[in-house]
Amino acid sequence: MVTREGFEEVVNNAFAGLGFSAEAAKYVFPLKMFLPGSDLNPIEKNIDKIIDGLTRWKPQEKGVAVPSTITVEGKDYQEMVDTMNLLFLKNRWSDGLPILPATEERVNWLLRGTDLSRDTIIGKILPRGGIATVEVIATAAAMAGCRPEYMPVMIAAMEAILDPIVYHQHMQTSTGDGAPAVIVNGPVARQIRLNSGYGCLAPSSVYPAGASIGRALRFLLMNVGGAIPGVGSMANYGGPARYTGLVFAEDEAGLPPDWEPLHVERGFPRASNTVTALAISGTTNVWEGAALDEKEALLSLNNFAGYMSVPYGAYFDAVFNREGTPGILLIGRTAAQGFSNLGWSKEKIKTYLWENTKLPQSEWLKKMVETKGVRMGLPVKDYVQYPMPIAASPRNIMIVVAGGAHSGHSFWVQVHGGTFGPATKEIKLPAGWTEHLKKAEEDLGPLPAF
Amino acid sequence: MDRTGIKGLGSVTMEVNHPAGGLEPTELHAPRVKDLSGKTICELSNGKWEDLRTFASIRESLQKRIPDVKIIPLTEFPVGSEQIDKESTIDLIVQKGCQAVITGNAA
Repeated sequence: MVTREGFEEVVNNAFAGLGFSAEAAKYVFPLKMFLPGSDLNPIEKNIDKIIDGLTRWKPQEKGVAVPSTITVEGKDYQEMVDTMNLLFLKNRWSDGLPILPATEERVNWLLRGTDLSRDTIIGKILPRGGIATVEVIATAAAMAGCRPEYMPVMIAAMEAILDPIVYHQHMQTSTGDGAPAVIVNGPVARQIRLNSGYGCLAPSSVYPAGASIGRALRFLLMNVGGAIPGVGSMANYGGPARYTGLVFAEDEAGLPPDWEPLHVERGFPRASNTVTALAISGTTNVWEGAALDEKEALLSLNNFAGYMSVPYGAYFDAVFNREGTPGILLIGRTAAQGFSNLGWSKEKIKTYLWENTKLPQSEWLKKMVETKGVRMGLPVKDYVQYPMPIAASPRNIMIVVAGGAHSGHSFWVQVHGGTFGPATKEIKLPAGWTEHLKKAEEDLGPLPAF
Repeated sequence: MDRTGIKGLGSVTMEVNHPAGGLEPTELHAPRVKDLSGKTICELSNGKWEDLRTFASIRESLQKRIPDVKIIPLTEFPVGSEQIDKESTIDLIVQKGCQAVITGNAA
């Protein structure tokens, strides 16, 4: 393999993720050699290395490599924790914020939150291909300050993220800025204190679950999956969503009676507990969302459409991808009720938005779409028409009721390019679930009212 | 919850789980050919980073060094990261009698 400076670990990750030993036969050339009009002399000067890679290089044997535990020392507990945090920073296992020690005791405490054995394999996280067992998930959860009652959601979230339709490896390695959005439905959301209302995408002491679950997922994606900035992940900016993802609950209590919750739309029973994961990119506050009368409703919808129809690279996938979504529109409960009162069902809103977000032909759009189509080996002219819709059909636009009760703002969460769509998984609760909830109430007080 | 470590009694240690999880290589890299003389090499490209130039330069340098090597250029195969990752591309490599493959480009 011929690769460039600064990309070697990405290549190592990719080989490891495919099941090979990470060290593959490759030659690394300077980045500038791959630019237009460059001097290609380094190739001739190093042709022997390429020949060696095809002839003399020795592949490694198969074998499982499980890292051992890490021992840290200090004069007291505080110093040990400080030492551990410095060590994690130096080894690129940290997100830059203080980490709790994943001691055997803490990990075992978290493992009580699931009936699955610690060795149960949930999947391999790409590009590195590290194996996410239940214990590895509990380790990340320990580092992030999770509680045992978060474990069922953590495991289901990991299953959803690893579903082939999410195509997490693109989110992990892309130069674009991808992170997981994780939407929880069902009674479990409130039980674990996951926010669906005011500030549902922001830090909260009253609803702490979202931040720590999201942070634990980031540790898994980074440390197990190898998405370390500039090494395994080439995201130009990364984006603030990478700290804790977007982990929140749908405001099911605030849904209008004729609006189905997300998990029911996706084929699950209303009473079930589910996680829906999607690779997302940008997030935008949309100033408006009220629907007190038809004029205001149309103003709001046209405003939503304005934000959603900013030409964005990930939309090209939507044209060729029947299951993909352009993103998630979050609408607060008051606005949702207003729309419903005026006869705007979710389906009617989706159809209106689909019709009013179509992108006019432009040289840039034409080039992007045709490049994508050629890359996918698809006959572009059979798929693309202008103006181009941002989704294959209206039903692909996701609408979720969440956020504060007042209707002045909504939120648009753009999909990350390269994903094929969202995945929904059922959350499996352990036999001792009510005991965990009782302990949570002792530790954190009664469940908040809203 | 107990904390590991006892204050004021000198050095104490704590063990924490490694955050990275295990790795399990399940595939072997292909064995190498003994040498390239008389062999057929195929080129597979992601279609990026001036691949037509870099692969042409590699081809030329190899042919200068090993005159009887046969190189099937990237243009005879699907191009692009998604395309070269397909089983049909691998089938084509086998069908064309490739004994070694150079992949690229830069990414």
